[in-house]
Amino acid sequence: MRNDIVELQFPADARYLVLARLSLTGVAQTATWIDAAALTDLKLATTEACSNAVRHAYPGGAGEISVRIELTADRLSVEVSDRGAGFDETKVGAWHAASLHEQGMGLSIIRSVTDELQVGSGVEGAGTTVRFAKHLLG
Amino acid sequence: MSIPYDLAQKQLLQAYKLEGDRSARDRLIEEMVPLVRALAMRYAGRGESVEDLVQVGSIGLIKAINRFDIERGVELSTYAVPTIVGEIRRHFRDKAWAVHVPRRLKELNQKLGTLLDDLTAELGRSPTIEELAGAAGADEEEVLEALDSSHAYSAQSLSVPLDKDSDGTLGDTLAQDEVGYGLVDEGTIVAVGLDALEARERRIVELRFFQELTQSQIAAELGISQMHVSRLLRQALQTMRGQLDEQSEVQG
Repeated sequence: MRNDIVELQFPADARYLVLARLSLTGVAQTATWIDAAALTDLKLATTEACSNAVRHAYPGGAGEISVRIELTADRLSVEVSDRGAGFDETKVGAWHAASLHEQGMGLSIIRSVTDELQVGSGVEGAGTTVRFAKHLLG
Repeated sequence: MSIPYDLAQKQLLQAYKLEGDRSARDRLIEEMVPLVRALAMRYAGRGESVEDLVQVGSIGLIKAINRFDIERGVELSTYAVPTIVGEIRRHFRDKAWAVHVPRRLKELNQKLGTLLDDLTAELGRSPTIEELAGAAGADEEEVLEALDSSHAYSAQSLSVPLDKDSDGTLGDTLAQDEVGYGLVDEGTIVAVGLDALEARERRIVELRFFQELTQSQIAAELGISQMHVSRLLRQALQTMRGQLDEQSEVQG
């Protein structure tokens, strides 16, 4: 059974997001069942997850983001992790006109365009890991 | 800061839901357009104007407000995001956006070839990705993908043989001389036709003509027999041709 893994690590800086997006394209090209629409959904979800990390994980400091892309016969999953400040549960879900960039909205978007979403603690208990996937029969 | 906003939103929702106050609904919609816009922006740069996407997304917003249950204990915004995003995605799906992607990348790839030469001559050095993107009117990610797109997508057209044992092509099947399809670009033909197909037929056509799998490979991929693939493919092509004939009649 196929189980291809691509991992990358980059500074928590929005300029590097394109790397994660291009990597996804590269991986998606190897699977016939992932069409352009599914790839676009995954890119959007990845951008949201990474943007959350860029904005919230390392207030006032530098840090890194890890992206792990895993392709099996029937699913393409992406895991975005940081070792930063951790996820603020109280912010989940809410959106306010005053603060368009709440973490909750990013997660809402990811949930809207993928078949699976989990949010947990990051590497070694610090920070945040957001994991989502598209299924073959999604 | 956010508290008065939430309160106002709740009051408007109650006025609309409990008292049927339509002006409260209209104000609510107005207040939430920034959310629709924030979501629409994420789909910018794909050939649709943000304004059009805001319109499309607003339909989702209105649906969400209509369906929202104030007893449920979630924020309206949380409830509305999937509905708005769903509406925007459906818009792209209805336009067969994904079907056009390989073609657009291929065109950008060709355009970049010319721009690369022109800019190199003009600047006296190789242009940066940023400069190329500016000149091509595309974003940097698209440029990177297009530069690499000789293998990126098998942008396939109508000249692929239908079967390895036959001389006919998809183009032959779809286009007949008397209807003058030469005026219509191939991508549109396939896109228009694909729209008329059921999910499985569409999948098979995509696998066969966009990803260039053989019928046996498709059979293996879908877990059905090659005979079955052959039958579904023939059926799909008939449907597509029917759709095209209809269109050409409408267009005169």
